[in-house]
This record gives sequence, structure tokens and C-alpha cells, in this order.
Amino acid sequence: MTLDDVLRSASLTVTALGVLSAGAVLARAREVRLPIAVLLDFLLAAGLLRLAVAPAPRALASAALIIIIRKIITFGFAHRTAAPAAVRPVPGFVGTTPGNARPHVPVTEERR
Amino acid sequence: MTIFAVEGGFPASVLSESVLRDYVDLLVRLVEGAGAVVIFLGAALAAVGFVRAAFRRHSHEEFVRVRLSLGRYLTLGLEFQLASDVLSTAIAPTFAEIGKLAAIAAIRTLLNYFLAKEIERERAEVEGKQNVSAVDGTHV
Repeated sequence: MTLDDVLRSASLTVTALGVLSAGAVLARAREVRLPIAVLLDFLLAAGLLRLAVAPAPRALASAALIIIIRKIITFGFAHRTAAPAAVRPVPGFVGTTPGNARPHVPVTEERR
Repeated sequence: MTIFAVEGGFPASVLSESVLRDYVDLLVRLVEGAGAVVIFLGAALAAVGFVRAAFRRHSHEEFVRVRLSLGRYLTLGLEFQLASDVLSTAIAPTFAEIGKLAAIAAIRTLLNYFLAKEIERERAEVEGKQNVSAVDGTHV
């Protein structure tokens, strides 16, 4: 068994681990973005291991393709999730930005 | 300087191009192997972390934390592989080898850059959520 065979086996193992991990995350998180990101991370690791073998043009092309797909998906999810993001108010303070935040004083009977 | 003039003597045999090429090849394989070991180890540890977090019903941030550690391992492995690329240029390669090397080095450098940026962004996100939960007094 040569070093190249070991690396190929390692690459396949990492792919299998990626499918397992993505499945586990999907079952628990119940959302799509994170499991896909996890799977792509593992596929990237597998691609890097394959790239360490004999860098054939096909391996190079597949590694480059994974990067492009990964970037497109990441960009797509970031674009979709960016819209509903809002400033979360700090409890005990009112105001939208840290600069104009002021302590929130509850209105009591005396002040009325 | 009679030592260097001796035919087949110590310096001539050690520093000949073919011997040097063998040494550098060995070093390249070793460094590349080290990078592969780091990547495989990171992937295995991350898989264990993901499955453990899923079974222990940890929060979303725990998954992100495991993902961050996987990203760090990948970055480290890539650094090793880039080091082996640099080592490969130590001996005069052919034009075809230079082209292949340039493509691999470009891919690895780009990957390293994007991974580092992604790790930075995810870390900032996790720290932001931790700060908010600390102010809220809630556990993330």
C-alpha cells in the first residue's frame, strides 16, 4: 500500500464522515444552511487530501469547482439571511444604538 | 581547496543535483504528508464533535464552534501544503511542472484566504451572540 493509496482512502473516509456529520447536524439543528456548510467543509477537506496525492488536472479542476460551489452557496445563504437581521435591544436600556441608549426607568405611580 | 577538487569526494556526491532533488522530494512528501495528517485529524475530531453535540442536544453555537475548529485545522493543513509547494520550487522544475505548481499554489492560497475570512466572520458572530446572551443573562 503506497502513500497515495492511504491518501485516497483518507479522502473517502473524510467524505463519509462529512455525510455523517451533516446528517447529525441536520437532525438536530432543523435548518439547511449549517448542515450544507458542514458537508462542504468536509468535502473541501477530502478535496485537499486528494490534491495531496498526484495533482492530476481533474483533481485540480474538482477542487476548484468545490471552492466555487461553496462560495456561491455561502453567498446565497448570506444574502437570504442578511435581510431580517435587526438590532437587538439591550434589556434595561432604550434606544437603538449604543450611543443614544439610556436607562429605562419604569413609570411608577409616584411619577405619574 | 583540494577537498572540493576530489572527484567523487564528499561535497560532489552530496551536493549533486540528483541527490539534492531526492532530498527535496523526500522533504516535500514529508511536509505534504504532515498537512494531510492535520487535515484528516481535524476532520475526524470535527465529526466526533458534531455527532457528540447532536446527541447531547447542544445549541446551534456548539455546532458553529466545532465548525470553527475544523476550519482552523483546514487552514493549518493548507499552510503545510503551501510550505511543500514552496519547497518544490527549490529545485529547477520543468515548465509543465511550474504550471501545475502555480495552479495548485493559487488554489491553496485562495482557499486559505477565504477560510481565514470565514473563520473570522463566524468567530465574530459567535462572540456577538455570547455578548448579547451575557447581557440578557440567558445561556446560549
